[in-house]
Amino acid sequence: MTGPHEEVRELLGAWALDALMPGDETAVVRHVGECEHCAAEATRLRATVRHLDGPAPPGPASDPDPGPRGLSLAL
Amino acid sequence: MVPVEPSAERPGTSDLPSGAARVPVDAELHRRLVYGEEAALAEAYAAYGVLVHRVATRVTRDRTAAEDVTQEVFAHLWTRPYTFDARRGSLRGWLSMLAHRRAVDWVRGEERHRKAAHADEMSLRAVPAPGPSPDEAILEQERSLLLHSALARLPLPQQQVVHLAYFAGRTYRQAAVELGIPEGTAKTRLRTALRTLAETLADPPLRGDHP
Repeated sequence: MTGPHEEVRELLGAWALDALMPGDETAVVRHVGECEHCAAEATRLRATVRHLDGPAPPGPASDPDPGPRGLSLAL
Repeated sequence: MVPVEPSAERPGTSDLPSGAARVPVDAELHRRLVYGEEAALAEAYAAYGVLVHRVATRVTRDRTAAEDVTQEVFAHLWTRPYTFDARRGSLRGWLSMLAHRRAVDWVRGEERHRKAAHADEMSLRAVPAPGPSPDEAILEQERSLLLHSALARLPLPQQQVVHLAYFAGRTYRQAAVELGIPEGTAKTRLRTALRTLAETLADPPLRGDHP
């Protein structure tokens, strides 16, 4: 039998990466509002993901991910 | 030459691979690649080209480098398909990790060049030229590289789940299904991986030292 603390704690990585299932978010937000340990970890993990993203690219943000041009391999 | 256009399917944005945009079954695709079937390479590129390019772009932040990394990754898949083991994860995760590793190597190489060039310049001038001092964006970029280097050093099973969630936009459930692992394991791996990365930030290696 696991309580909301254990369940939510296990979800914090997925939460920080926006990889939750629909419906999980509510439980996470509710518990994090009450548990300072989980709140601290959530903040820390989310900050880590933001640092992984790095700075916003300079220049126009209209073309953030132009996609590859195509594959041309000399076979 | 095999010119192949990337498909419109964006692995990071589609919810579930289904219907027309169905991702080819790894083991079968892999078998055909090992046999040297060019159509299999085209299918792999159509399914995963956008993801591989996205990973390379996020890490290198350089259009040309991202293109080069993408070509290298698929050249690797074509010439050494046997280095992929379908029993140890998905082709999506494997290609993503391959792109990531090469992109991190590229950035490290660039950094070495830049530092060497800077050292040369400094030895030629007694007074440093006035120029922009390292600003927050550069520090952010260094922090990002530090984290990406640390990500590339995580145990492969952890890396793979992070790749599926972070780069390919999968939920923990989708990642678990794709990798054939329990959901709880996927969640735990995501959390453990991020905690390790967070520690890297709290206690970074010496400046300029990216092992």
